[in-house]
Amino acid sequence: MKLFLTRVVKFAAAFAFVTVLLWFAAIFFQPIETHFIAVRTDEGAVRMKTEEFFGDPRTELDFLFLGSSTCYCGVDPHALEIRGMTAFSLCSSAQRPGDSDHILDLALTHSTPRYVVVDLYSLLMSDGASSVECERDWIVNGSSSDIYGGDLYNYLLTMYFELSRQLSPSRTYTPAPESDSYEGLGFVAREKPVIIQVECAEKQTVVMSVEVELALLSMINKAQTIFIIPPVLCPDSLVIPPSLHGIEIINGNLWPGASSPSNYYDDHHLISSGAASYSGWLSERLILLDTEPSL
Amino acid sequence: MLFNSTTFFLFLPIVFTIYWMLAKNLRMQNVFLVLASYVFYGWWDWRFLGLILLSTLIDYWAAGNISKVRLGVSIVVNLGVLAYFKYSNFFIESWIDAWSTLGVEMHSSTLQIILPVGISFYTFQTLSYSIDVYRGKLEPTRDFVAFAAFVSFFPQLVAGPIERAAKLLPQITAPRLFDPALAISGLRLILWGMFKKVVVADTCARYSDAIFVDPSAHSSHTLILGSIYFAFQIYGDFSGYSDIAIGTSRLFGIRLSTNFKFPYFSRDIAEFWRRWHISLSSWFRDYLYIPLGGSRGSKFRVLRNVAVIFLVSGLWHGANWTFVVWGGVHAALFIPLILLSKNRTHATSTIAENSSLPSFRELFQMSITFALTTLAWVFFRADTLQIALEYFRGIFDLHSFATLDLSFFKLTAFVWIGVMVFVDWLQRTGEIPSWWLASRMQLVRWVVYAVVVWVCVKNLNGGSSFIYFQF
Repeated sequence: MKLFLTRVVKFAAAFAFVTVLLWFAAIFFQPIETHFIAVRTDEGAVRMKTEEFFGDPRTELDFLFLGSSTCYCGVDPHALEIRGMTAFSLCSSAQRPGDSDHILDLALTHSTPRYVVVDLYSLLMSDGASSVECERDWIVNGSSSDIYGGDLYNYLLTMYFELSRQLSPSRTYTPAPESDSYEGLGFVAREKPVIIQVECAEKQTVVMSVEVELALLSMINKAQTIFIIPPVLCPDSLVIPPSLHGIEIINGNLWPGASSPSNYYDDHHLISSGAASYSGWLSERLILLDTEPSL
Repeated sequence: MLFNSTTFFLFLPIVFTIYWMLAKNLRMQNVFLVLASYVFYGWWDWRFLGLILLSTLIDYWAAGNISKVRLGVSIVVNLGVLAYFKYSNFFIESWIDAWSTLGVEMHSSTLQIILPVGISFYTFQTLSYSIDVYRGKLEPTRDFVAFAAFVSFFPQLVAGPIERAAKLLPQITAPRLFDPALAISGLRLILWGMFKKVVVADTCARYSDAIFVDPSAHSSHTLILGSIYFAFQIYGDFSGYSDIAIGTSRLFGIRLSTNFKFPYFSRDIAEFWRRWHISLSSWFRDYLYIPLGGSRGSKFRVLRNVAVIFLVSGLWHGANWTFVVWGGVHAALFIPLILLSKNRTHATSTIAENSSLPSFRELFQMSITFALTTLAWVFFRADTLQIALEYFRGIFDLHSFATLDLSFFKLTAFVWIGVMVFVDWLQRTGEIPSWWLASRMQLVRWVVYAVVVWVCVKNLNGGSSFIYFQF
């Protein structure tokens, strides 16, 4: 047993030593960080939107959007701004309600939104409430040090990036794809070839998982919340649990352009012209809810 | 509790330490093993611990004074529990669908039943004990704690290997001495299993999931790539889990059976089934195929028995017609070998046994077998038969096939697949190459292990579930 434990401890110690050396090298040499630790990227625009949001002197906001990619490239907050409202989107790639809940906590340290609008893409509602990918995105690109998902590597990344940001604050980020253009207020416009047609499989009924339900309830306790079902070419039926009945829901599939493939580049992501049209329609409904909440 | 989770990395050293501290008291050590195993399983859902306990009690009682009646009770209870939790809704829905094709509409009242993780594995394991005692192959144990440890042994509780009592029970009832070489080989196997699961399988899963979710949206080449990704996803996932299970067992001084012997190096379907999920196929051979008559009797009888085995094996994997069809496809591929008496051609040999590389003939045989099993996996992976057929329509769409589309060719995934295949190839005879284990290679080994640990930690995706957990 002694021999075994000695070898394990020696290996672990050697591994830890080399890892620490690698980290320090990565702090001062970005190529090492990129290859061995994580890639800093502007894809998804988390860096830009967090810099803009936390750099904005305004501390009051009418609408704060949270959700996944159907939101960050589908909902343009400018559509509300031109209608006299203030809005911002902190939606990001693979952001699930558990992630949104933590990002909301982060956002509330800076400003107070009158409404939190949560985009509920059905395929992300039936499983876990948090996404390792989203958490990692915010740690690497969004300067978040909030660990909640239990992922070991994300925990290590938090320690690394906190140190890195202090010792080497200026780093380059891999540019976003050419199709993506950050337009401000958290919105990413996408220009991709439109989808020609799609054959929808049998409509699924998606039951929200308990974890997702709890995450949404947590958000509801912090701010007035509105749910939106994003427009998709092949809509599923999302079952809203009784505990969430009474929360306003806007069904994006009622938008006139929802079933038109010319607004999408795949079955659930809008191209920029589609997003502009949808955002205008959505803004009208959000403003209507604000002025006449019973509708 | 998942193997690829932070919780397990905390659980294992604690259990390992306490287990070996109790080494001088076998009974206490086994009691602790049972408790640890119940904690491991209960971490997922404590409500289903009762089912494991029920299975344990029934089979301990049945085998204690075995008779036809008691064996019958054991079979009815174990298979009944399995049938209820796994197949109730399937039978109800199939019954309703069958009537609706005749124009008779029935009200659908499926039950909201949670499928207990690992139920297909531990019920088969306890059943094999009762049957072996009945057949006189095994003496019943009088040690309930040891038997409970045999049923609930956590490394193999939720996804196998399905162990026979004749092999596992004696190891539990005998004192265990710590073997450093065995433990180190266990750690090596755990690391390799983790690599196959969190790096290879999870990387491939990302792409296969994206492709299978809507086959009609993808080109012929993408669909072919999707099936290849899934082939390596399920292999990495399942054999990775088995490796972790076997490796973890070695840390506790217990040797489990090999469950995978590099099945994608098989030269025909018969060899594939001697190398894939060995513990399950041998279970079906011993407890279903042989009682049906096995290879004795007329050719028709043999073919019938083979077909039954594959169809039941398909159904064992899941309550969906896609799994049954998957089993049927394999039966259809296996039967010609039986008819031509070629099902044992490669029974005792390994590919490229005396050379570093396969011959052209072997390469051809391996490629054909891999292609056939990969196409069969489409049924296994698709959610419905309709999606599977749509998938095949897409693959064989000549118009789509004419235009090369490599948008889903992901170099990272194929690099990891390549590493896995290369290492598997080096071990294809069942032994780790002696040059690798030589003392002069220690620094190289440690560097490689460190890189693998790093890559695994980087890809550890918050504990994504193993595919075979829901069987």
